[in-house]
This record gives sequence, C-alpha cells and structure tokens, in this order.
Amino acid sequence: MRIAIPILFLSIVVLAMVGTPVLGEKPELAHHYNSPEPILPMTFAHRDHTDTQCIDCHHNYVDNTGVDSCMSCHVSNAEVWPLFEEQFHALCMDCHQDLAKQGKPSGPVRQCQACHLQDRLP
Amino acid sequence: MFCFATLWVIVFLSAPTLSAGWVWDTGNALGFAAMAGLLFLSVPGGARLAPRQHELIAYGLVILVAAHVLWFLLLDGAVVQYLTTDAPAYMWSGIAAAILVIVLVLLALMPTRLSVHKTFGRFRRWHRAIAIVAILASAYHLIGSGLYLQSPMQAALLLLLCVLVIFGRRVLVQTARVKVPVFVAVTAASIVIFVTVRLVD
Repeated sequence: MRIAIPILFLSIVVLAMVGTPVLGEKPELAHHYNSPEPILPMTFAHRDHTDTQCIDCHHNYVDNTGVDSCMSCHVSNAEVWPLFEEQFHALCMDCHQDLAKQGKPSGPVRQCQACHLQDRLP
Repeated sequence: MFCFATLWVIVFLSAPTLSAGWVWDTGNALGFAAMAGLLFLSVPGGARLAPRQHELIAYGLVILVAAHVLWFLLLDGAVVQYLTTDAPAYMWSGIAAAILVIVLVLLALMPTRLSVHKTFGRFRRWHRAIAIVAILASAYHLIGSGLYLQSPMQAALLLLLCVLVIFGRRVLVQTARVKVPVFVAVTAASIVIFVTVRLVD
C-alpha cells in the first residue's frame, strides 16, 4: 500500500491535468456567451423543449426583467452572475428530474457532460 | 453491515429509480460504498474486528475512494472542473475527505505511526479525530451535491447516522465478526444493487 497509494494519487493528478483519454469531445473552459469568467459550454435545443411552457424559463416575458437571450443578462448582470451556476443547474436539473420521476421522457438528470458540450442545435 | 444497509436505505428514500445511466450511477455507487466503509471502520469492533482486518478493509476504502474519483475523471470530461479552485464547497469537502482517508492510512502504517505518535493512545486519539473530520466532510459532500440525497429528511438521517457512529460507541458495537471477503462481497453487492435498481425502471 505504501507504493499503491502514491500511484493511485499520481494517476488522479495526471488524469486531472491531461484530461481523459477515453472520451472524444471534451468541454473546455472559455468565455462562452461573453461570460466575465471562464465557464463550461452548455448545449440546449429549443426543439427538444417544445412541451415546456416558454415562461418556465423565459421569466422576462412576464416580469419584464430583460430582453434577448438568457445569457444576455445572466452573464453580464453583476447581480445575477454570481448565481449563474446555481440558477441554471436548478432550472435544468430540477425540471429534468421532475419529468423523469413522472416516468416521462426527460433530458439528462445528473451527468455533467451530457449538458456541458458545445451548443450546435437550434 | 449496519452502515451499508442504513446508508442504502437513506439513499433510496428519494427517487429510488431515478437513473442517470449506469456509468454515472456506478461512479456514485463507488463513492457511497466508500462512505459506508468509512462509517463501518469507525464503529468500534473491539476484539471482533482484528487490527489486521481493519487495516485490510482500510486499504479497500482507499481503493474505493480512488475508483470513485478516477471513474468520473475518465468517463465525464466536465467533472475535472470540480477539482479547480472555482469548485463549490461541497466538492472541496469531498476532496478533503479523500485526502484525509489517505492520511489516515499512511499515518497508521508502521513505522510511520511510531515516528509520528509517541504512544498508542495518542495515535488512537488522532486517528479517531481525523476519521471524524473525514466522516463529516464526506457527509457534507453527499448532502451539498444533492444528487442522490435530495430531501431534508435524507440529509437529517445521514447526519443522524454519522452522529450515531461518532458518538454512539457504547450502543453501536459490531456484533458480528467481519472478515475482508465478507466486506468485499457486501461492497460489491451494494454497488450492484445501487445501479440495477435504477436501471430496472
């Protein structure tokens, strides 16, 4: 164990530094959506969410708190930017999990990389 | 195997069949098994858990922790971001718990133990204190991430289990002699149950 523990620890450090050799596409930290700090990409397709009410996500349609896309406010507004990760994790995961619990088709419920990929879909 | 059974009941209290796919569920099953193993090793065994068995099971615990981390780093390219300084506190808590488990094992090995601690009593006090911090850090990791423990009741029950293991030494004593093969079998069975129950749905 005196040898095994350092080897295990070293393999974790190496894997964390160079990234996984198993997967194809890997999400990269960058200033996606002109975010003030590097963030992971997010994939979202409106066509996969046609059963969802628009205002479930687009709160600004009823409370007039902003215009344009979600990111135009959520990465640029100093008040909501610190809550960005927490708010979007809650918005997406809670809804997906609620659907899954009802036995309905849902998107990813926990897996990070299922959502954090480059956005290509309309 | 009170710790495994209780932790598994707590985990399955909320959305027991909600699956994130076998890859994700297996990685987390390894983590929950590590938590159960940590709790198990903290329950006083007296003469029933020989020091050698405790040592071997602790090695198994290190392997479970490493497998939990390596699994996600290998199979989910986004998880590595949880090892950065921007990671949420509950992830740092998990990293701290993993490091503490390794420290627990390394400081207990001879002759390191003798060079660090002058007496056995002093070693035991430190070993127990570090184990308690590791348990609490692990609990915060599980509750804070909220992936499987989603209700306040589950969080409260997990904390109750931790408190029982930490402070209930007079009432919670291992009643059966547990050997390494039994521990390995229970761990493997627990992981299989964790994953397959979610896949069935």
